[in-house]
Amino acid sequence: MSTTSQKHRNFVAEPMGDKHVTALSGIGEVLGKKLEEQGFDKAYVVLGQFLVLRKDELFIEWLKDICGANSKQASSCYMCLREWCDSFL
Amino acid sequence: MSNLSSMSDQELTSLLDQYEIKHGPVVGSTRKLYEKKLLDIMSKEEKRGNVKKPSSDKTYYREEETETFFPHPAHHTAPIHYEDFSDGDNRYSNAQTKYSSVTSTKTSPLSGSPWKREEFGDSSRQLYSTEATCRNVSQSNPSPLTSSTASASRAAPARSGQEKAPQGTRYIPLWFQFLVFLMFAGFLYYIFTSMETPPKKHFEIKN
Repeated sequence: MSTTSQKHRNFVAEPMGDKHVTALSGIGEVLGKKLEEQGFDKAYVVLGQFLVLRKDELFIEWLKDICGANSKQASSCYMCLREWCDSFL
Repeated sequence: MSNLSSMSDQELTSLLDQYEIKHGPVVGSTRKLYEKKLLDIMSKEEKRGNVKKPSSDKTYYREEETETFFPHPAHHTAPIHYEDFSDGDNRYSNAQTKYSSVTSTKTSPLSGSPWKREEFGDSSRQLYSTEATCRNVSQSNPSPLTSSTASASRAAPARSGQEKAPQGTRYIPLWFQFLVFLMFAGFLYYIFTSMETPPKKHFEIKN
């Protein structure tokens, strides 16, 4: 059994479409708000940043930097996006 | 290079390539990240440049350590074993070049015992280290080396039958190890004989 959360599994199960950034695993209300303020209101915008960083773990650092996420949250979001990309990109 | 933020995106990209960092395009959102990464790498390189020498020395493991650790003045006398000093030096200096060819250069100083010890010297060399270690050993610490060979040589005639004489790079003196070994063997023998006595008793009773 994997150690992924329900949120993670929900997100990677289908194309993200227009989902809000809080649909991402690891991104809750507080972090979602901060990301919105920075202009990252939709999940696909964060995806854009993820892709620009070439799906590198540098994304984790970026996420921590931009919204103050901790390591666990940022890693969770990174894994979530990576898995989504594996399936749909 | 001192002020990354004043560089253009292109220059940052070329710097990232220079350090062989895997990266994406340097755009508004990614610039700060890459600047930070470059700073990290550059400071690391500086540190590595300073620390490199001692770390490369550290790869020499035990021999080097024990050599410096073991200056034991007590064993240092014994003019009788003067020949052994040159013996040890020869051996180590030769071990630089080749392990197998040590025997060839072993000509003048002694007659019987050195060949035995040097064989084990060879095997110990092969066991332990690279050429660099030997070189370092011979260069840096000739005197503890000679003192350790003196102690080893003293142990070797004392226990002439024993075949376990790798060269004196030991914390505990060799004779002590042999003593412990003999004591342990004696202890085991005692246990063994004590196991035998019940049948003997049985025998007597029968008679």
